[in-house]
Amino acid sequence: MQHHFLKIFFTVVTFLTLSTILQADELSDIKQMMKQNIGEVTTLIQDKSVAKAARDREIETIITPLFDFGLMGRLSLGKQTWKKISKEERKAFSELFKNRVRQSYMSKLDLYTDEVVVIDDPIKVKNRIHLPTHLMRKNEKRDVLYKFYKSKKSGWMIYDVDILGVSIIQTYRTQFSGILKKESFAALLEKLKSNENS
Amino acid sequence: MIDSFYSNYILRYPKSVLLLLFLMVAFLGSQAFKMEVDASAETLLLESDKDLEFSRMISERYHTPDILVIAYTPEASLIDVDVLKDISALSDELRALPMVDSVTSILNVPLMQSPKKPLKEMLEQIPTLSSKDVNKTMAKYELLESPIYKNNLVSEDFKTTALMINLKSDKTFRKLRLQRDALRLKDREGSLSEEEQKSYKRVLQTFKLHRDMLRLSDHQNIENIREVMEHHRDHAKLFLGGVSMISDDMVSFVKEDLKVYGSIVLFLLIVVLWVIFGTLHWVLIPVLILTVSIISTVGVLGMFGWEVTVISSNFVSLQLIITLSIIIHLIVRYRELLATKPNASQKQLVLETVTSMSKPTFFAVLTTIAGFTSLIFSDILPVINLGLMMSMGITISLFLTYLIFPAIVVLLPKLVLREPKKQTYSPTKVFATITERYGNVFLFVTILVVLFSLVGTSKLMVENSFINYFKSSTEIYQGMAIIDKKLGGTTPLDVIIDFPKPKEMPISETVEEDDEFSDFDDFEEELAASENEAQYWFTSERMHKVKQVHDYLESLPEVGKVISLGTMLELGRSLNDEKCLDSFQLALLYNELPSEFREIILDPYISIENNQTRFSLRIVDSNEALRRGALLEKIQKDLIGKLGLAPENVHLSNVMVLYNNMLQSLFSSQILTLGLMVLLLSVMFYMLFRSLSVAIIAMITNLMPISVLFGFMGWAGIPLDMMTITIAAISVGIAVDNTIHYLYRYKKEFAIDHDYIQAMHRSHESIGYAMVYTSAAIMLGFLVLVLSAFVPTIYFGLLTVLTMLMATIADLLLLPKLILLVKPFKVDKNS
Repeated sequence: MQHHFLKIFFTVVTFLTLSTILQADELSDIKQMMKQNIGEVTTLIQDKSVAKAARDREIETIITPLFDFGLMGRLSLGKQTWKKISKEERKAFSELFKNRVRQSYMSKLDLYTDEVVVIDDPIKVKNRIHLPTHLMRKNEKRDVLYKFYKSKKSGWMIYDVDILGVSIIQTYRTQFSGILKKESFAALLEKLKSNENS
Repeated sequence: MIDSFYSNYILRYPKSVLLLLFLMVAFLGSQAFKMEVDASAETLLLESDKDLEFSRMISERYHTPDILVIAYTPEASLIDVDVLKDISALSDELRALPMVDSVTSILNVPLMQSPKKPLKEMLEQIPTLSSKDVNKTMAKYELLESPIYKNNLVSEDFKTTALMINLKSDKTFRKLRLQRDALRLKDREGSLSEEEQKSYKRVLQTFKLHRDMLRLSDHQNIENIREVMEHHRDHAKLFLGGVSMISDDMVSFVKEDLKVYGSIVLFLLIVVLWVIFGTLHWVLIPVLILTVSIISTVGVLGMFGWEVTVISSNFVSLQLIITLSIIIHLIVRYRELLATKPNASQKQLVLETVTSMSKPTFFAVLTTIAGFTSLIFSDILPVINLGLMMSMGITISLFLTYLIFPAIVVLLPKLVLREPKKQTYSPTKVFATITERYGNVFLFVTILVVLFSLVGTSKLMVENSFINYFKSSTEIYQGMAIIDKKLGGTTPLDVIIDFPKPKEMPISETVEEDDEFSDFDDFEEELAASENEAQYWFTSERMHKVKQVHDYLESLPEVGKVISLGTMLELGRSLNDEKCLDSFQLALLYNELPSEFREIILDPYISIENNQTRFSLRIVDSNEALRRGALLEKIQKDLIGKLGLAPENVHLSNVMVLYNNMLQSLFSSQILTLGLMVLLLSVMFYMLFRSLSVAIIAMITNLMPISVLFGFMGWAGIPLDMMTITIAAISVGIAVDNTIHYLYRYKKEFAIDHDYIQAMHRSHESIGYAMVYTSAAIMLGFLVLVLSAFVPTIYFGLLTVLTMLMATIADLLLLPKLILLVKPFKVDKNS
């Protein structure tokens, strides 16, 4: 009886220990991965010898795999709408949304100059991971929070970024739901398209 | 009964009566110094007005401080080094004053485009005109082009700039007012407990004390600011403006009018008395009675803490005039008796004078009181107070005149009547002759005049323009005109828009979920939790609405400056390479904006927790074409009809609305007041003469002057406002006196020989004189008000003279003609 109890006890403890080790691994992996990516990106930005277009293309190839643009688009649209629209519409929307986010991210890069990016320790929030980082310039500290989730196919991916406390997804959500309250989904697509061309 | 009262008491112990009266007046005189003048905006508002509550709530919610504005027009250019130095010195001196919180001027407002820098760089150190490296030419351009500064901080010609003096807000006053309002509400509902009743009394008292103190310090503050301004007049023209200055200056005008016109009217009345009667007695006795009447009334006002306001500021002149009319009727009657009964003793003469005049005078005073009492139904505290004040004042006058006059005259030796000059011309005779010979022509003319007046009445406007209260030569007018025309308008109006509440997402029915949705709910939950955080409030949908409403309001020609979140969006666009800030940028801005900027540029215009936005408008008060009521209606209608806002989400607030409500209430109460007065007077005439036809004739006679008054105002474009609105009730109240005296006398004269024509001639010859005398005295008295610097007082004087003139003509021409036509008096079988 006692033996049996001990066995269960050890199993539980081992499992718990193992899972923490696993978690710790995942957490430090993510930190490591971001450190590397951000490092590469900042080096590229600071390197004035590379032409802007070429530089942007390179940055894009580093960043794009980190984001799950598909999920971000779905979340921005909201479950209700996503369920209502057709497969073709979903595809068109995802494509436009991906471009839009990428574009806006890239345009913000020019604002970056000589800040130091500090990556803090990642935090586990339920089954997701938040990675707090901040930009330091003189004495000012500006927070950027990357939110990761574990995708079945591609592992840990970013699904949202909070910049100075403002969530990108949340902003899109309020914006899209505002438009959809009055206009059709087709109109929303039109707006995304026209933004893309401008 | 009156006979025995006078012969047994007053006329028997006249000295004791005078002594007692002297003691009473002395006591009241000691209270007279407590009388207060209050002309604050608060006194003019409807206390039961729901919009007042709303406006106060809005001003609490959006933290709008009280401001005073100095319009500064230098001789040199605004960006000249010396001019900037002077503005800087002026600002410093103002800032050093104890009531001044801060001063905003072209020197310390942020310049964001001089020169244009990347947003990030600019936010690190926002330049101002006082910064070293600022480009002044660019700064000038920015001040002239910026959506916030143009037509607000600088005039379009760049010659005038505004220094906004932000006053320290008095938290105790706000707290006390909230306490008072809460308890008053309970009091009205009748749900005050005993304990609360006590605290209500205490709060009322503390509130009043605190407000009085505040009024003094406000006044001192304005004096201080004016003194500071004096030091800077060498190189620039300076004018002070702002709501609290207007009310402070109004108090000064009212006080000045009380002093100056009270005494000038008194002086004029002395002259009139001398001209009419030509003896010292008949000047001194009336002056004595007038003086003690005023002292006693002011004493009672002081004792009960009733405050004189802009509206009731004329009460001294009014009371003087009405009292004089009572006295003149007594003197004329005494002299008439002296002439007809030369053998009667002084006591008999006085007794008959008093007893024969007491009934018509009593009724005449009663009708005047009725006229004033009808003001009680106006719902506006100062107008109600004027009604009560005057009713009380006239009662005091009646009481004192009927005690002092007999008590003094009985002590005097029988007054020798001067040999009347042989008069070839007598106005009353002319009136009687016209009535007899050309009565029908006059009747026809009257009908034409009334028709003409009715057309004029249809043109009557209800407007209340502060700027037009002051003559164009006064400093206050010039200051207001500059601020009005060059710096974005005067009267504040707030447009408050509620955004529709976000619809709750319906709980989705469980449907077959495919793979894609398996994770969805979890994320949805996470996002829903932060959905209502303040920074996500700036959705493009809301911002679009804000811009739409802002552009609409700005397009209205009557509106001077509009500042709202829309102004900030516009500013943001100009900083963002002419691209509108998107929701994400706005959210970032909201989170990142330092609190001192947020307090200035966001807090006054948005209330995220209430899902509401505020547009702060200033209306150009000096615009002649401005129809305030119509403008408010148009804004409300257009926001609903053209911009598709739900009616329950559109609210108008602030001074403009409150004054308009007051005016509309005045207008409807005017109709009610007049209707009520006509009814009251008809009943009184019926009671006095026991004849329906006499009552109708009397009312027609008195409605003619009112129709002319309103007709004249309509044709002349004089608006009905808080001052002119009281004229009709007051004039009729006074004019009716003459009608009563005439009819009363006519009835007596008719009883002698039942000859309508002869009775008319005799009435004109006797009471007619008294009527012409009193009317002349009243008209002369009111004419003096024309000299006032306060325009409402001028109108008040002019219009009352007009009404009195028409009333006198009506009483001496129309009334006898109607009597001759209808023949309402029955032959009394007993006579």
